[in-house]
Amino acid sequence: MISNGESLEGACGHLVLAVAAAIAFDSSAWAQGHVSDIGLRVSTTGQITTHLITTGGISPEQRVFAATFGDTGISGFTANPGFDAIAATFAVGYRIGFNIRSALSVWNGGQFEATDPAGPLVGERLKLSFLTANVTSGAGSVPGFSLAVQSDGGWHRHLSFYLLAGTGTPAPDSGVYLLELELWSTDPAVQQSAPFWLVMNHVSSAEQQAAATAWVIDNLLPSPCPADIQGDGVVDGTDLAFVLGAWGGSGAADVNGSGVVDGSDLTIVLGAWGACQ
Amino acid sequence: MGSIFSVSSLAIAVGAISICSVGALAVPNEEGGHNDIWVTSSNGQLVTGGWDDTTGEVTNPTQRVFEADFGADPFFPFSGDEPGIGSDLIGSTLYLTISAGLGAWTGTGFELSTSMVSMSYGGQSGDTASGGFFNFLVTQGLDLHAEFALSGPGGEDPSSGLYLATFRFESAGFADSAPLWVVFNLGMSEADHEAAVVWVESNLLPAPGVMAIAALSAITGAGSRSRRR
Repeated sequence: MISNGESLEGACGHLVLAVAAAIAFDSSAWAQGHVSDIGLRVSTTGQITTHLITTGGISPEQRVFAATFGDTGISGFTANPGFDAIAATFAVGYRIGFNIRSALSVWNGGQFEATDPAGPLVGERLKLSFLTANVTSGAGSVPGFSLAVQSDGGWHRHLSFYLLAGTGTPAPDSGVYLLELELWSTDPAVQQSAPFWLVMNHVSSAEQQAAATAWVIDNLLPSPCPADIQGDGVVDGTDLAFVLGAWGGSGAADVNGSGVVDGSDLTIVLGAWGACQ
Repeated sequence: MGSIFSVSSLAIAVGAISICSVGALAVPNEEGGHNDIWVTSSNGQLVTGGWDDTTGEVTNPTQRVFEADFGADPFFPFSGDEPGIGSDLIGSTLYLTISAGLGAWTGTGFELSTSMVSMSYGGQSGDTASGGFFNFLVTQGLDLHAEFALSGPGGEDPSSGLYLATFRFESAGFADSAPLWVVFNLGMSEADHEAAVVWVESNLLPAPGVMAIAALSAITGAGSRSRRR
C-alpha cells in the first residue's frame, strides 16, 4: 500500500496483503520512468481508478498512497507521487481535474485529526499547484483545477505539494498528514474516481507513517468484503445472526449502507456466503 | 544579428564556434524530439542525455539540445513543465542553472530577445533576465518536472516564436556539465521548431574534435565559472 518513501517492511499486515495483490500486477506498457506514481485507468464502467506503478507494472486498484515531503531536498515540498495514465486512456480534448475532499488532517498516534480541531483556520494547510494554477486545502472540501489530456490520450502530471505552516508558526509541525483527493474528467463518458488518500510524511518516522497508513486502510477504505460483518474473513452464520438481530435497525449489519437493515442486506450476506474473496 | 552568446556565459561554446565552422561537422539530432533530460556523470563530469521517461530508457546519451512547447495546455498558454529531468546520481544534489540571455529565432539564427523565460521548482526560481538556479536531491526513480514560463517585455504577453535558453548542471564532486539548450516553442509550427533545433545542433554543439579542445580549456580554467556552494 506504500507508493514511495521510507521502507516500511514489517510495519503492518496490510503490506502483506498488498504484496499478495501484486501477483495480479499488469506489466503492460507502464512506464519505468514513472515508478511510484499513481497510475490511472478507466474501468469498464467508465470510472477513473487509481493504481500504484511499480517496477513490475501496475497494481490492482489501490486508494492509499504514500508521499514524503522533502524527498528532493526541499523541506515541506514534494511533487510526488505524480499521476500517469498511458496513451489512449482518455479522449483527447478533455481535461482531468481533482478535488480536495476534506480538510487536511494530521496523525496523532492513534487516528487522524483535523489540523484545525477548534474550527478556525490556524493549522497547517496544503497548497497544490501546477504552473499558474493553485489551490489550498480548507476546512472542508475544496474544488481543485484541471489539466488537459495530452495529445496521445495520456495524462502524466506532477502536481506540486507545499505544506504550509499554521498561523503564527515559522514552519509546519513534523507529522504525518492525510490528504483526501478525487479525480474527475470533463468527458461526460468518464466518471470521477472513488476517493483516494495520500499519507504524507513530514519529518516523521517511517513507523508512524506505516501506522497512519494502516489506520487509513482500516477506517477509511470500504471493506472488500462488506458482508463479513464480524470481520473474521468468512461470511457465515454469525454474520447472518447480526443481520437478523438488527433487523429494521441500523449499524454494522446495514451492509449496503441504506440506513436500515433489511432484505437487501440479507441478500448480500447470503450471496457472499463463504470465505471472503 | 545581435548574438546572445557574446554576452552570455557560453565561453566554451563561443570558442567552439570560433575555432571552426561546425555546421558541416555537426550531426543534427533528429532522434532527440521531446526527450526529457537525463543527467549522469562521465569521468567526473556531469553529462546530459535524452531520456524517454515513458520507457525509462536513455535514448540519446549525448543529447544537449532539447525541445519543449509552451501552451500545450490552453489553460496555461505561456508555460509548461517540459522537459522533465531524470538522473541516476542518487544522493547527489544537482543544481540546474539558467543563463542570462534569451534567444529568439529569426528564421536563420537567434537574436537577443527582450522576452524572458523563467523556471521554478519547489519555490526556487531563476530566469533569463538575470540567471539563477534551483537545486534538488536525486532520489531513486527521480522524474522531476520543473515549471517554465515565458513572459514578454514588461510582463506583457509574449509573442509567438521560438526561444532559446541555456542551462548547465552543477553538483559538488563533479565538474560542471557542458551547456545544454532548450528550444521553447510558442505557437510556431513543428517544422520551424525542428529547424531551430537543427540550427542549435549545427552551430552551438561543438564537433568531437572541438569538444576535446573545449575540455582542455575547461581544465585550464578558460571559460570556466564556478558558483560557490
